[in-house]
Amino acid sequence: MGTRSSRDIAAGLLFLVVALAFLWFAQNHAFGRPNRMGPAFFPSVLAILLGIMGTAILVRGLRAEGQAIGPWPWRAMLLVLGAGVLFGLTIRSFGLIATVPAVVLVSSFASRQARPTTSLILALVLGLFSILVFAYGLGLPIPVFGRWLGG
Amino acid sequence: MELLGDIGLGLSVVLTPLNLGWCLIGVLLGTLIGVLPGLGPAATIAMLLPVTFGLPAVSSLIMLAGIYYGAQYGGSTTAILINLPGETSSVVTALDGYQMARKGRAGAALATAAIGSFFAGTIATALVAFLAPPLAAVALRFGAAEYFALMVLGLVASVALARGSVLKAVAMVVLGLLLGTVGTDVNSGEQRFTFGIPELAEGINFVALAMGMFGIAEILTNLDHEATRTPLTRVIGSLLPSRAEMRRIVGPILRGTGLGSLLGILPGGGAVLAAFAAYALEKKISRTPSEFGKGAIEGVAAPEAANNAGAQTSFIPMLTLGIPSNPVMALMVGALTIQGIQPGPQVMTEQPELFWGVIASMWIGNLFLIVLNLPLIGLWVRLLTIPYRLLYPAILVFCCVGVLSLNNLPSDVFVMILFGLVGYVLVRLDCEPAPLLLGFILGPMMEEYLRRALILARGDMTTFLTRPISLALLLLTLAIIVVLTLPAIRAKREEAFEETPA
Repeated sequence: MGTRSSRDIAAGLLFLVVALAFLWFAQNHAFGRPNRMGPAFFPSVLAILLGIMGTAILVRGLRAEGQAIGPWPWRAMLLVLGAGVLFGLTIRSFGLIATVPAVVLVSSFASRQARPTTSLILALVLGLFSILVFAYGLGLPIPVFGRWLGG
Repeated sequence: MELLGDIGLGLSVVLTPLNLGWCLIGVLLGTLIGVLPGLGPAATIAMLLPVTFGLPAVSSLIMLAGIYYGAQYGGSTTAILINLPGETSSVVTALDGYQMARKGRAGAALATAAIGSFFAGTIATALVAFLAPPLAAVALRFGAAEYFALMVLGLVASVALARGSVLKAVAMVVLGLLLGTVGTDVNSGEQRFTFGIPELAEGINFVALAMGMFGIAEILTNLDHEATRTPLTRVIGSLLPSRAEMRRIVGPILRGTGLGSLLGILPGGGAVLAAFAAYALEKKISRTPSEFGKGAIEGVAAPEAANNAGAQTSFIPMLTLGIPSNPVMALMVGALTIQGIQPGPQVMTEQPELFWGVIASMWIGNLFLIVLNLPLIGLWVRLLTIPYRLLYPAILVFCCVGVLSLNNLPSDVFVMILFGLVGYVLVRLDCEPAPLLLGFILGPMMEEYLRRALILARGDMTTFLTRPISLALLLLTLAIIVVLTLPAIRAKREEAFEETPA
């Protein structure tokens, strides 16, 4: 893909941005002196190091040939990560009984081979399994029914 | 004879019904996830960390260790039977093991793998028992400056043996160190990089970060490579290798054990590197190198012995110095910290039953594996027919439930998902997540040792260079960096990882 490595360029930029962010927010704290390191001392030194390395990776990416990043699997990312967020948002209110099947159902369609019936069965099986094992078996402090379902 | 007494103490800890049970659960779980492609030991251990809270420290470590070396056994089973390595460390086993299976010698290949692993496991366990006490004794005399230098060495060396770009791996270590500084600064009490979010006051949750990076990000990576598989059940054949085959595997098993044990101790080493190196060595010294890749039994025996030996000796730096050499060991450090135990040389003297119990459990666990696994091969093969599309929603649910049960905070779930995204993006940019995890776990310790060393030296930075042990460690670090940047070595290093089958 051309004469540049977009993977290196993106990685370098990412490291550089993170380094600058840490350096910027470290300004809120005292730097101190070597014999009395302030809260900003260690992070600032690290951020400068990361910035240097990010720049080096960026420069290398601009000069050397390399691989393209390739298309992002938006659907899979959205469904898997979204299902995780859904779990965090709904577990308190709806409990395992509703949340787990919903999470399984949503995430199962991230696979290109998903079929509605198998997803439905999987959702029910895993829902039952997690109630029996996590809530009753291991006694984890996670509600089975949740606030809105009278739990 | 003190050693015998120590091992006796270890055995007395393991040989209780409770700990035997956890050891058995660990190795069975390990084999299971070793068989299932797309679920590695790091992700499994991360998922199970919350479960270990309720257990005594010894039991939890025994179980987690069992998962790690059990996975090496399981991975080789699938590698041989269907040319699908369940673990990265079994990739080379698939080269010759699968060819043996195609010739109807699957049983012999499986038995060779099991015998090689068991022998290597026994030797490696003995090595851990012999080497750990003197190493810990040395480490007990270390001051803050030496510890800081040792951590620098450990982090740089772990990068040296990782795959891919060295520069990116070092950047990942530093990023991990930086993420480790988020939260309340222990000295000033000031909150750093928390943006007033109360959930971040105690820092980024280690378990949430590890689960995101290894559990969630791996789901996305695996979905990228999702392909239709049609597993074949094939004739396993006689389980016992023939007399001639037995003679052929003695040398490779011995060499594999030696090489694997050595590479396991090195920071960044462990099972994967050991297997690759052992295969390359056998191919090099063989009188019939052309047989390799076409079903040479040596090509199964050596890497299988090596990966098991490496898996076990990688416990040495973790148990004696408190410095993890690979992500699995970083998770073990996490498990200990959660239990309120600071890993380091003092563990051996203050908690001898923990230290020797874990070591003895490794040998017992290997015994379990060889007794249980050969009869269970049929079951493992059937498990392989579970398609990944049924597996990953379960992994996602287990991760969510696990991370939530830590502190009962939904925010931990969000942190995990965030690091799942971050981890996946980084993998797509060819940045391995393992160095980040090592940096994250060592970060707070490193800052503390740096602070203490500088206070003792009244701010004189040269303290790291004037103390002999610290200087030696830093020179070693420098040597590794110089060697890594030499073009000839870089080419060789890439070559070592090139044995992957198409």
